Amino acid sequence: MKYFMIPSDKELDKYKEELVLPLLNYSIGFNVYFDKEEIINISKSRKVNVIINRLLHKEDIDSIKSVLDSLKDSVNLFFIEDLGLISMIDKDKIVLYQNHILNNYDAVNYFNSLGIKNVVINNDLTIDEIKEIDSKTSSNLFIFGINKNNIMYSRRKLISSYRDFKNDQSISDNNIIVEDISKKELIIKEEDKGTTIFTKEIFSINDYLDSFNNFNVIINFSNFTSEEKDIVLSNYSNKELNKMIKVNNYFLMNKIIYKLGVK
Amino acid sequence: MAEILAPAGDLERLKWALMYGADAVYIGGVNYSLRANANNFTIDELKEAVSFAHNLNKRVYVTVNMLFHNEDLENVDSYLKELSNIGIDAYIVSDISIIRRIKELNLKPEIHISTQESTVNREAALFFKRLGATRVVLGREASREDIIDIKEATNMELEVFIHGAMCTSYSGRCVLSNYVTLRDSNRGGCSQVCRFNFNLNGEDYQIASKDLSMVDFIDDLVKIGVTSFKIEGRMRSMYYIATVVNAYKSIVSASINNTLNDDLLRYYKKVLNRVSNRDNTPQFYDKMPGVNEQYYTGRQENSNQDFLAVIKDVNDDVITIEQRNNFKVGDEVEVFGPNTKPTIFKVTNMSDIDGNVRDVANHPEETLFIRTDAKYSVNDIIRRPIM
Repeated sequence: MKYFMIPSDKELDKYKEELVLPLLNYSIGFNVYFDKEEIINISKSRKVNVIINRLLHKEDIDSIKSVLDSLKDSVNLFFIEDLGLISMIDKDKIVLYQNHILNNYDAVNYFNSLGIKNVVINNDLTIDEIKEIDSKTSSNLFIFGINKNNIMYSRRKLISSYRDFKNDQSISDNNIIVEDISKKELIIKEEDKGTTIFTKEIFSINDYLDSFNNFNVIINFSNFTSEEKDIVLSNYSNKELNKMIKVNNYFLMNKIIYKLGVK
Repeated sequence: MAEILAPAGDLERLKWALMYGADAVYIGGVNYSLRANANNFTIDELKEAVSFAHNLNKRVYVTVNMLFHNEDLENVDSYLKELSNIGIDAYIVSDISIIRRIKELNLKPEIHISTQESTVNREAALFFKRLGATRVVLGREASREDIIDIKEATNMELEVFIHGAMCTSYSGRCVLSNYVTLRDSNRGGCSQVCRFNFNLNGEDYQIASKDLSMVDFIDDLVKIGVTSFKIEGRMRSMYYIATVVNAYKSIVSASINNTLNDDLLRYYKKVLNRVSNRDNTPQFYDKMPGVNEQYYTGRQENSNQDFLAVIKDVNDDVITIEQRNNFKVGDEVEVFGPNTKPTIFKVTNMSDIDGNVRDVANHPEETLFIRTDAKYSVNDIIRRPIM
């Protein structure tokens, strides 16, 4: 098992594990982004991986080719959401991260047969589902093991539009919203290319790491409070971590119903 | 080819969709589709659906488009084979493991990639083409430039949503329903949390999208070479489906025949606005959505009572109707149908099955008789006038 870290600021020395850097203009939902020059510079002193988690439109596909070309010798792995990037990156360097989409071992194995041997398994599955995938594939598996779960990604500007509707320019791009009935609190975050929503509490798979054969754990510090970040930075490999922070492992524990009347 | 593709939640609605101009329908089986709580089709009903459609030289696509979890994989092979044996024309799929199975089992129906994959660029479309897909249902976030580029680069069949509800998120990239209500959005159980009410800084806040309507851009899409014009709504009523299908069939046909004009568009915009329960806009096609493409606070959905009756029989100058909403002698009503252009007539008389003269049609599904000189057909629909 290996750890990877997505930083939430640019003081990278404090992130001791291998870095996964969100690529500027092609990623969404993070606290900090890195352009190609920064990434190339950082790669001179430590191993660097890049995440590109936006769905890409024509202008993005047109422009990203040259960015990828200039990064290919500096970057170890590319974590990609958009299947269109598969034809543009050396397959050995791809970690496929189709958030919420890749949910079963058969899909993982099929991608393996297509040459995509690194995949991120969704963390909105139950622990039993994750274990079964782990046991039925030879692919190199990754999971967002400690993070605030991204539970919605929209191309819409859901805060700007609301600001215009309310005619109130003081509303921040980054807010907590509360669903009226469940009272669940969510982080909503608008950026130039869309809006993302996250759980307010931290998801942490730390309690279960011993039960996996083959998992790489990604820690995404984006959207953490400074207190949460300090605790996780100091204790991410500590088995007692989940006692030190407020953890919500809702997805791991709950089987999600998809047809009313059927369990 | 410019195909009108209609949704159908059950056999009745499938027949109305095809009768009113759909060239193809998309339907779900009892399992594996993204509308788990629609009535959906049993295997016997699927057989009847395919037989009915093929007799009209029309096509049936079956959604197997949920995102499978391990437990869902167990019996899917036999289901895929059964669909192929029935003679469906295409599977609509999202999960790559289902593509693998269709190929390995050497099944005949085409593979169409569901909008759940949110395909919005040429390279992603080409990825699916290399896997054997013949058609991509584009993400509803695709702009005009995206669609042109994908068409030119791939020469695949493109299916584009032209009317109906929108997700707030990119399709597939949302588990709000899972998190808030324990219902799986990617396995057909979406509870539409994006239409729930939230609180932001002490005030009501919503992230709900208005509906999609591409009525102003149909001509453009025809010229781009879009293959299939898709209408959303497997849970919608037969009146909604017949009305929307009829409207878009008329617009697409006029576009192809070079007879599309402002009057026709204006009329059908009114028709489409009247039948919808939410406001609509072109959303991402011509610009990025802004303040006018969303709802922000609680809204009232319109209840539509335009649907007055269906013509069940025509005998000389007497039509037999089945009532659906109240109307009375003296009212002007509009009739339209598969072969009946919208026309207005005034109801001057009405009688019931016992021969009693009636002033009002106010009993649900009651059979009534109206004498008229105008020529109508069985299965024409009577509605309140749109103009």
